[in-house]
Amino acid sequence: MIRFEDVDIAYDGMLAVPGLNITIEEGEFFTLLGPSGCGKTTILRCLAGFVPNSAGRIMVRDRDISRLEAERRGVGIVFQNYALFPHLTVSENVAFGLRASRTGNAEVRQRVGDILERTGIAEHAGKRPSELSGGQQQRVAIARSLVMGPSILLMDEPLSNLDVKLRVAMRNEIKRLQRQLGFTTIYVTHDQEEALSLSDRIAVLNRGRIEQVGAPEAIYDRPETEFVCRFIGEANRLTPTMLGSSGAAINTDTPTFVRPEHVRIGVPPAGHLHLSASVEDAVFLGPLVRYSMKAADGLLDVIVSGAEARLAIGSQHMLHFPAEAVLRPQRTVQ
Amino acid sequence: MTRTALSPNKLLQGVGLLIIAWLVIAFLYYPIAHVLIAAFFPEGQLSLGAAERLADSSRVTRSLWNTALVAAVTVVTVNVVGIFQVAVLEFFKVRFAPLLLLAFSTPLVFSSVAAVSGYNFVYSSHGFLTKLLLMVFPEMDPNWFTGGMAVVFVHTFTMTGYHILFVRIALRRIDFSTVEAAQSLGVSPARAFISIVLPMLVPVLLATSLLVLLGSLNSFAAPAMLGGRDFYMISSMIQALVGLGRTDMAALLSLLLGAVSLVIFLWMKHVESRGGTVSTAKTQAPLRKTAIRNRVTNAIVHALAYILVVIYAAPILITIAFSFAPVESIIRDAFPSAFTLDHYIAVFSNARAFGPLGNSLMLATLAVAVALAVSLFAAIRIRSTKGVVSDSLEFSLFIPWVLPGMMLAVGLISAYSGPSLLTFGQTLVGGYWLLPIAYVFLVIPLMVRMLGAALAGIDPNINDAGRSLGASAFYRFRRLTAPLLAPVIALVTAMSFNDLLSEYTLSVFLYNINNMPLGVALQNAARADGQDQIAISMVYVVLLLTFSLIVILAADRLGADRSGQR
Repeated sequence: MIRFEDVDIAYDGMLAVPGLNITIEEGEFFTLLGPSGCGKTTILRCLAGFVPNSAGRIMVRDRDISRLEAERRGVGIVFQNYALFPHLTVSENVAFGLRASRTGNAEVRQRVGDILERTGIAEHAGKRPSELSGGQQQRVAIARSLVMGPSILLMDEPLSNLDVKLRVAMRNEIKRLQRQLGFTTIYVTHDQEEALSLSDRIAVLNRGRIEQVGAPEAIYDRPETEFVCRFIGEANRLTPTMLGSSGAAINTDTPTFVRPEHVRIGVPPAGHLHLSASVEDAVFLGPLVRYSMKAADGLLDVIVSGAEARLAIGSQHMLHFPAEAVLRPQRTVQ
Repeated sequence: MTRTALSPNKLLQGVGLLIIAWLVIAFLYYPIAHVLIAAFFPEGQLSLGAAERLADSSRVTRSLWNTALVAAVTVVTVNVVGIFQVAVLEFFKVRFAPLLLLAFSTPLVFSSVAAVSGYNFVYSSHGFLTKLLLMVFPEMDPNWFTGGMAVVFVHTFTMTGYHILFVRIALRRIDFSTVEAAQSLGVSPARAFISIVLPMLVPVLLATSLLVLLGSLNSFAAPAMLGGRDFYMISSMIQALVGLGRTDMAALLSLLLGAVSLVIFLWMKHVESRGGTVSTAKTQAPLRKTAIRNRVTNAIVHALAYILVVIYAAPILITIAFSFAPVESIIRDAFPSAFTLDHYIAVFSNARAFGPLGNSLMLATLAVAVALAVSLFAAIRIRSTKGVVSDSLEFSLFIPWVLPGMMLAVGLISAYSGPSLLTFGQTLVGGYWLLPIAYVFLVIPLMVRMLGAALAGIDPNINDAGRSLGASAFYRFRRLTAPLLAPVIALVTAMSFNDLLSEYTLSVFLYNINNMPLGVALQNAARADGQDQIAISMVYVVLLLTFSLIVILAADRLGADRSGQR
């Protein structure tokens, strides 16, 4: 179990992360999600021992590792740019940590061979990093960390340098390895789709502070803050004027949202909130069509199946959604 | 173990810093302080006596004027020749351009005392050209190639290397569509070069001119070997004053040279920091060579270019050719009448002939080894730890870059002519070690700078990755940093070795009978009329040239390999 207890992290003289408190369970796939500069990589580097915490404690299995040197923490890390050693072959890269700890030759060979098999790069063992594709380099970076048998693996945006198709394939690969080997993973990303698809739990960060921690579904369906609501998925802000005709009372003290995919076009069934809007713009996205609809008090995005009949620009329609689809993030982060 | 404990690594770092602190204090700051003391406090009290004596000496005043004049004229002649070279290489269509490039690049491998010796072999009393001229004009003075004119001539053709290195690259980066725009407005190519291209090159030309100015103010080999009896520049004056035992006057003069050099260096930094003319084009048109349409102009440009090729190639070809000629032929013939390997065999088999080469090889090896250890340690420390210690280290190790070698030499002589606590009671002047110690400081700035740049180019995550895999600092250095730096280490080692083999300034001041290096031997050969010595010095020059060529080619190859990786 990893616990950050009131941890402050300063970076270049500025307090980048103030008063961090998180608990990560054994074997969990935990993601730090947030926009660039929110402090997620700083937290990861602090746990790895590259950046010191200026206050608080970092506990791993009830042992304070805050003052322990990086090389003694036993925490594996996969860097965004992989940081492969360019002058060493794949197998030398993977064997590096074992050699540094003076592991016997036979054991090094056996463990390196085993992890290269598991990560599917055994056939490239003799190549240099510059001879590998992006996906292969990434597997080497993962294998290099995993061969040390770490109980914790940190991953700093490891998929950001790959193209879209490879990213999805590698995502599944990482999840498979994590399930198979059972290590605790702390994963940093700014890509919400990646976070939602991979994680057991997600911490959404904004300006060094945690906005919400929870399972992907909870974060998406029940955002607790306006930032989370807008950052995860898309959200249309609802105003009292928009829903005036529904007779629904909207509390203007807290912002209220509805996700574009929850809005339907057509005659509203009983009990649904509804409003009238005209088609301002339509964008065909293959399986989906995204409409920009002009309502009384602003624009609403609506996403419908591409199979449905296309609506003409300027045509007037009724939009409706069930009351449960309305999101009311109420908490504010200090 | 926690970060606060004293690890073996930190202990090692502490010892390393202490050794460097001793080296810097004993052989840099203390000698500089001695120069100041010798100049202003010769007998423990402030005295302007040295300044008055300098002002009263007509020889000194003349040497200052000579230096100013030679430096000013050199800047003009180097720019005229250098800009012409760059124009015929990159802007105008001139036939046999690769040949021109080869000839104009020779100053990069043929410089300092080796080049001065080479020009001496062509133009001196027993030189190739003089022999030819004497056949036509038997009455002429065989010692015609001497004094300020000879110094400026050799300066001009040994200092255009900066134009080939920097101005040529800057010219290539110019957006050619600006020239085409000028042509479309009715301007001829030659006019376009003068009115469009040259103004864009002003920043790089200014920076290059300052380098040339710095080089000619500090020039020593050329005035010492070609100046003749009555022509002194500031450097040869300092040498003469040290020889006369007037250390106070020598110190003051070297201080003056140091101050002027510092001003020029700071000016150069300022020019560099302002940067060049920035092109506004998003897509730049590459440079295309333009033909000179006027036939007469075209013929003149071609003729001048080929005359330059002859001037550049002659000292090298003549030296190589005569290094294989028997002694009688060297003295008598304009062209070698026979060929022999005797001089080469002598250099490698005769202890006396091999002496200077062996000394230089040994001195350079010692100095490069120590300098490399210091620079590697310092570069890593400066890169990894910020703070006062690292800043002081960086500042101290860059001082020799600005400090004229002459001033360091005068300071070392003044500081260690007797026993000193800083050298544990040893007197260094007259001993073997003063010269290699000075050599160490001569090459350190280049090493620290290049190793620092190479370290900055290594992804910091690589070191972090090593740490996260549990590797100790020493293991990370041995398996990650050192192999990644290896090409640059090889390069700076070779470049420094190359510089030291033909080093002249420090050598002349600090050598003794047991370690006379190549630079001094070449100077002696140029002055003496000993025929064997001339033949042997030709072999030295050819060997220096060959070594420089190997270093430059290796550096070029390395550069290509490194850029290929990215």
